[in-house]
Amino acid sequence: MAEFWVIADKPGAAGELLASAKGLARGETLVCLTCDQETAAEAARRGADRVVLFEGGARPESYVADWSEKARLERPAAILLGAGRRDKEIAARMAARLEAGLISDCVKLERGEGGFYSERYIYGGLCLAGETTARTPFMATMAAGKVQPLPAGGAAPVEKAAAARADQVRLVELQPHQSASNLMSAKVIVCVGRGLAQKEDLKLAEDLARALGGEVGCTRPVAEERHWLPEESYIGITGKKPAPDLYLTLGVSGQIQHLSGVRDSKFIVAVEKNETAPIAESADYTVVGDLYDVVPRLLAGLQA
Amino acid sequence: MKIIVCYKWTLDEADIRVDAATRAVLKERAKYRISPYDRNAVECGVRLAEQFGGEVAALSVGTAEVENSVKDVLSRGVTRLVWLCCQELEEADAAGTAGALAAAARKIGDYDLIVCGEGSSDNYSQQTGPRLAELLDIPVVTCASEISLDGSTLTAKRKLEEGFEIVETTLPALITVLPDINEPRIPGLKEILRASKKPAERFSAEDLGLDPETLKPLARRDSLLGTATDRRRIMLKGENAAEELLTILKQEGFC
Repeated sequence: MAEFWVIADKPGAAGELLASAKGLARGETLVCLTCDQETAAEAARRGADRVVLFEGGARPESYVADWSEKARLERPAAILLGAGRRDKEIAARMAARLEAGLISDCVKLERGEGGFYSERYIYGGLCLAGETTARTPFMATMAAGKVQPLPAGGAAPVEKAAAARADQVRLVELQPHQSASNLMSAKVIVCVGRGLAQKEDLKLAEDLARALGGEVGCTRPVAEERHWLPEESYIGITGKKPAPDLYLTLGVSGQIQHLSGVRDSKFIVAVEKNETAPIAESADYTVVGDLYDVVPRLLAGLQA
Repeated sequence: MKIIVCYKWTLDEADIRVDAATRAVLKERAKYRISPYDRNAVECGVRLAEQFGGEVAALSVGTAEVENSVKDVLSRGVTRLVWLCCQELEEADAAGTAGALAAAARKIGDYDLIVCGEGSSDNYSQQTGPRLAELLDIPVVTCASEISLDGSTLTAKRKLEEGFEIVETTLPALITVLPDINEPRIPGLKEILRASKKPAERFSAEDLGLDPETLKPLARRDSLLGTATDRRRIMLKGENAAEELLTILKQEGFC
């Protein structure tokens, strides 16, 4: 019987991918391939017909050759993965081996007579591209948070398989992040951009976030060029894509790559000196002014 | 050592306009430039060659438009340029791009390391690097933020969502690099003048034994629409702007 695959190494991702696959499958068996025990258990509960738990590799990327070979032999109709950095590497390498197309960071996926119809953002989020793929297998990496996992309740069988092919890249060490970022679940986010003059002034943003019951995030340059906040704090199309109730920016000019990451926010407020900055086009309200003048006044008002 | 650095000549999305009424994408006024992520790839390769000796070949594939990138890329410290010109690459996807790059990399031959950016500024599918590595059957390390070389052993620090991963592999290999791996140099007048004396080789698909038809996108593009932002776009200016905002935040229930 024809199969529809999802590949995941995290329980949350497996749940979302299986929900997407369930909606798209046309009688195909839903198979989850994973290398993580917890993910295997979650997939078995949430919609998979069959789970294959691979063992013996040092990291998820170690299974690319095995999974590609399995796909070549079993010819699944489609293979869906998440859109994390590991997922995207695995997907691209498998697609190359299978001579398949691959839609990255897919935000919408439908299936029709002509094949799979997908949508994804390009040009830093400025444009939405709709495409139809007729080739088999169809492959996509799916943007997270677009679907709800199916209710738990299934009890699919979990088979085990061993990695047969060696990884040409050797794992030396894993250094997990110490602090888990709360940005994705925050109701309020205060985001700082390059308009902030020095690292010490982050305190202004932190005080404002505290007063509003929120978290502090930043733009990519603040994390990657200035290193003022950790990598997991940056927001944008290539970073975190949160959807808070209130998104308040301080000194963010509003490049499209940043704004694309927060397009699902309910309410956007900007504090920005330059009234012609692009952020004003994408905000509900823009306070035109110096953040060093505006923020203390906001704090005074919030604490009054 | 012999290093290949790949770059894509992409439209600057800051100059792309969207018609508010029709959501049509207006590219006419947009200019091309080296994809910013690839500037880090070029810089990475050039610094390794400066440290360990050897040559750096810049490599690109695309339409005749890529001709306009020649001077720019040659002023960034590379030794020479190889590029493939093929009209079928106009709307190329990562499969076509990687296929063309693989043929050109084989033409260059004997490479120790290939460096790509983590993604391109236009499509940002993050596929070309890992696809290219598979086509060339060499190991790949994606999303590197730090690298070091010891003989033929490459060690890289990858930045992943859950933390850092330190890996090592043996050359020849391919890496994709993140923007924080370095600060690309800004070419000086001397480099710009020297660029015109550096060799730039242009090949056609046929020169590299490629059937141009195989470079076309695998998916059919049905639509391309500018994203609509439905916001109030109200400016608060003057003396009491901060206080006006407080009132609005209260009305909206945020404080």
